[in-house]
Amino acid sequence: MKGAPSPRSDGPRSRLVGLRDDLAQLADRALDRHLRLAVTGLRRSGKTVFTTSLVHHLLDGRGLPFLAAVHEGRYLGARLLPVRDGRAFPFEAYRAALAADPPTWPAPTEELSRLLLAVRFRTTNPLLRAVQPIQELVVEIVDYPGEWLLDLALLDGSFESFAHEAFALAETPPRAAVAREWLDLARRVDQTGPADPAAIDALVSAYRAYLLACRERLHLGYVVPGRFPRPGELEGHPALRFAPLPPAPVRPGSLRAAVSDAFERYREEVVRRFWEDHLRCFDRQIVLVDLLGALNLGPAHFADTQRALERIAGAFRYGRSGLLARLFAPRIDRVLFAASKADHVAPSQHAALKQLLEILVAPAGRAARFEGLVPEFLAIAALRSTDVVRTEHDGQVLSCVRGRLAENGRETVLFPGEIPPELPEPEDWTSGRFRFRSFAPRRLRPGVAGQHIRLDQALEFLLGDKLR
Amino acid sequence: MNEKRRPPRPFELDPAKVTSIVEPESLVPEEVAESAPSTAEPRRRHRLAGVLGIGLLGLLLLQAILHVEELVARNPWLGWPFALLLAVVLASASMLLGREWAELRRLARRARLREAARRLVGSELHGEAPKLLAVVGSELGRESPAASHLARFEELASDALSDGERLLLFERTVLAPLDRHAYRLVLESSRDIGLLTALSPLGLLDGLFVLWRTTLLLKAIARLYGMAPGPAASLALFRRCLRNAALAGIADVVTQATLEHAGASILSILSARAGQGAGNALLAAKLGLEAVRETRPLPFVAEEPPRLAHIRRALGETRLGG
Repeated sequence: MKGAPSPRSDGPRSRLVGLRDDLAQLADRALDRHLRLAVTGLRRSGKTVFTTSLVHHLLDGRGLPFLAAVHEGRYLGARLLPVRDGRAFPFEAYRAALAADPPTWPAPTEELSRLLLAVRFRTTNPLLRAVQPIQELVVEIVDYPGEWLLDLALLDGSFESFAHEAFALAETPPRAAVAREWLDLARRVDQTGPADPAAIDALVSAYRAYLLACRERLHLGYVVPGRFPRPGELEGHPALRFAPLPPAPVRPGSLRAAVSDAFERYREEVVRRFWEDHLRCFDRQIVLVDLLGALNLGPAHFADTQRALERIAGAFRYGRSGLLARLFAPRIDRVLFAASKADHVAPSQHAALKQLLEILVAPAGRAARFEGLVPEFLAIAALRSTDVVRTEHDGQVLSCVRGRLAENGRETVLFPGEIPPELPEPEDWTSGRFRFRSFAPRRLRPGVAGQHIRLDQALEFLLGDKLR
Repeated sequence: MNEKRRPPRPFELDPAKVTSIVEPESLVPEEVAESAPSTAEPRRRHRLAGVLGIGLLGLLLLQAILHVEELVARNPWLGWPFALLLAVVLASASMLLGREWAELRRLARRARLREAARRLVGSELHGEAPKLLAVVGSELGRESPAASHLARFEELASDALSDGERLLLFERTVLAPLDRHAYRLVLESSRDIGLLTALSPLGLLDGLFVLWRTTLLLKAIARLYGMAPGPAASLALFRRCLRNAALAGIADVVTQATLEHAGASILSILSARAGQGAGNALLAAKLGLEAVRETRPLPFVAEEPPRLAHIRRALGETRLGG
């Protein structure tokens, strides 16, 4: 298992340790005792909070009534294992931030990190019960910025198709408003001339500024290539020296040739490596979707979320895993689409939230079904930050939510609008029908029930069968 | 609410001024319990029988009062104690009758509760299950073995759960432990019956024993699920169980029972008494399982109902072991 593409001191000793770990992992995998869980989702969909709350609750072992192992009294406990290669998920720091007074949400993820959790339980398998009644399952969770996933679609396309899509997107609102500078530059640049580093730099930084504006100013989720807005450790990497260009013939040594070479390098060295090292070998996947945020921002953002979801769901090859397949080419055999932040609306609207998500994911869900896998849908809140209040307003009894607003910490009672159970009509957007707000977190405490919504059901779907 | 209503707009309120509406829980139970559909035909027959019964009772009562009046007039020393005794008899009889009647009604209410709960299975809506489960909770009784499980359920059930989820959680936290207990009761009594039938020297004796032990089992199961059946309610329960067992028998005969009876007849070649014992034990187990189905206030949703096959396996194991 290789970590992120970062320079590491690979002494013979650490290489030996790594080899031993690899072998142990292979053995665990063969015995079905190692489970890799992909926590996927776009930016601000709540991946980090989900992972933190999941680990907190598994360590705590209480307040998970829908997890069969807990409910049947077979769940014994969990402990964190040290992560030897790559960056460890800073669980303790995040939990401390959520347990502090006042608690704070974790910062958005900018880097890939991993987490290993050993879960102990009493097995129900009559054969195993005779040999070793107490079993251990190692759950490996990977947290990474959601937009890296969008890059996977680049593996199938070419530079031309990538550029074509980028231009088509940039010319339509709301992106057109922030794309002008880069579009002017891209259309003006002499593609057939020699590869001038300064010209490429200007082009790339204009494109990056445009993508950053899409993400930060317009809050759009579909930002491709995903590493461009915040390259992190790839800053200055030659594979990042490309940007979409209008169609033109390619001449050796020309600017276009250099840019499209960099695109190929990005595909091979960044995207394919990410796929090979981290994503290819997942067993289970949860895709978190912040539908409320998308509804809040309007039709363009909603369509953007839908596009991103299709890309994400299409990027994984689903299929059932047998013993051989698990050893050599593990594949995802369960996928859960979860509408996150369900606590921002009253529980009576969760059914509509789930239904809307089902409609959005329908095309990708069909593809998964075609591979013999039925996706599951849930409306969840990894960490609940509101209560329900029923009150009368204009002659109607409505369920509202009560909590502290994220931006100013003020306590409020809010009716954020009704979630449509089907795709919203054009007039829904114009009439100010949705005003979902973000809430500040509540303190995360051990041993308290009701700190989440359906996290236990998500867990039961994702790992329940491995805890039998 | 009609289809074309305008969806409510978003609004924000000051938490200090919000008056929260609390659903009145005490009003609901009867409504939920009565709302389930019931068949009209048997009702009418019941009513006629009731009228006849009340008429006969009234005649008897009138006759008794007249007799006492006459006695008091003729011989007060004999008449007054007689009148007092009659009053005691009347009072205790009416109390007993009332209790029996309440238990019988409760048995019928359980069937309606199960029917109402079946409609909520898998429901993603909100609002129905808390009312229904409040009724079920009070049916089970706060001081019964279910009390601690009920407290646990209330701790775990968050208000975010939909009706279907709430039902599932209730079944898992409250009813599943009771079911396991009931299963143990059935197992124990059918083992007793099997052993005693095999050992008893007299046919009549073991017939009586089977009847007595089965009645005891049905009563214990009913008590476990929060009922307190007297003779009439026990009889009604027994009748229902017998009827269900006979109905289920039609399907069973084809599959399971044939196998069991084949097994029992092989056993009876080895020993006639042992074969009879096995047959009686299985009959008792079947009646016990039917009693679980009849007295359980909710249908089996996610939990697997205890099956005869499990009992048979467990019986076989105990026989091997002991």
